[in-house]
Amino acid sequence: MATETYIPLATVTLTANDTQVLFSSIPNTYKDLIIVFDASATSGENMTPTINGSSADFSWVQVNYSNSSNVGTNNSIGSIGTGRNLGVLQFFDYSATDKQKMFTVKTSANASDVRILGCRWAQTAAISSIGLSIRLGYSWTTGSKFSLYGTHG
Amino acid sequence: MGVVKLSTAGILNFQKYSSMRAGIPLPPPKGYDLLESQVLSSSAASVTFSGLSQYAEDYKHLQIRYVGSGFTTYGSYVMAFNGDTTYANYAARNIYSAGAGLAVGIEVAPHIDYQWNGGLASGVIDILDAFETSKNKVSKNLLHNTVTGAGTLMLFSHMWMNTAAINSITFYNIRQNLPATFRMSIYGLGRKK
Repeated sequence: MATETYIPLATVTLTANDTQVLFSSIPNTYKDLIIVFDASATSGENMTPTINGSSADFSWVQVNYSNSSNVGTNNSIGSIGTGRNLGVLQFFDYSATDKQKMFTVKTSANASDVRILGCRWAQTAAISSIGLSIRLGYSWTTGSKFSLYGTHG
Repeated sequence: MGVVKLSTAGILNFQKYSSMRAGIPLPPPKGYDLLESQVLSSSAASVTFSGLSQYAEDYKHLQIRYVGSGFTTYGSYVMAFNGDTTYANYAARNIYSAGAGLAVGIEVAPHIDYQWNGGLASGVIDILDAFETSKNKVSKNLLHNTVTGAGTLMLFSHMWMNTAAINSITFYNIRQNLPATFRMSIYGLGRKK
């Protein structure tokens, strides 16, 4: 029996500049989470996600538009510009407590920067909140839109 | 004001509706439905989704999402359609990076992922036109696996040189069992009805 999935859980559209978009009290009734955004920043910088309020225990590997790649052990990922930025984040088994969390990130910044990342959050706690900020305290600008979806599995 | 039957009210150009939804646009078609999911309670050699032809009339594409923890070593993953594990019937290409530049791989094999070491693995496989009988089957996988650090990011393409509609999918690692808690879910995309 097929089950309809890719369920919209929340959408945030900023009515003023804001340093963080926070999805909190995320229900644990889905398997994967997907965040889609169409947003811009007050200054070009990396995105800094937090999970359950934590910015620790992140690591990532990235390939980008300039045919290069790198790795990091922080939560400074992707690239957000002052123009239009599109992005998709996918979190696997986010409500599981028996495995560390993996997520992928795809961003395109103002048609000048494309990046794909595989990320790891080395904690086994279920994810109940996800915050998206921009490094160095820059803000998401008015009109930026973020949507959270859940998929069954 | 009295109630007058519409048919006797002098209005000639009217239309009868039998549905309470009259005038309300139909909702957009969905098209991202969970078909089946398997979560391993103990390690297993493979995961198989069978009887997929029952979905041929309803969906165009299939998607598989998987995540696992506790892999113990390296090794390729096979995605075999309709029980066909003959390597010569498949072709695979990949681009990957562990952070120090990009590399590519070419294989005559049904491979769809590579575990670079033990640890974690996740991926999203899109199987295009899964039930078409006029074309070979092409799939892609964006995957990530890691041990303790950043890990490796890969984009895999997979072609089965056969035009048969897909009825079963078997997934396994050639060097190790799939670990307990490994989860694999299959979705139908592009609902036809």
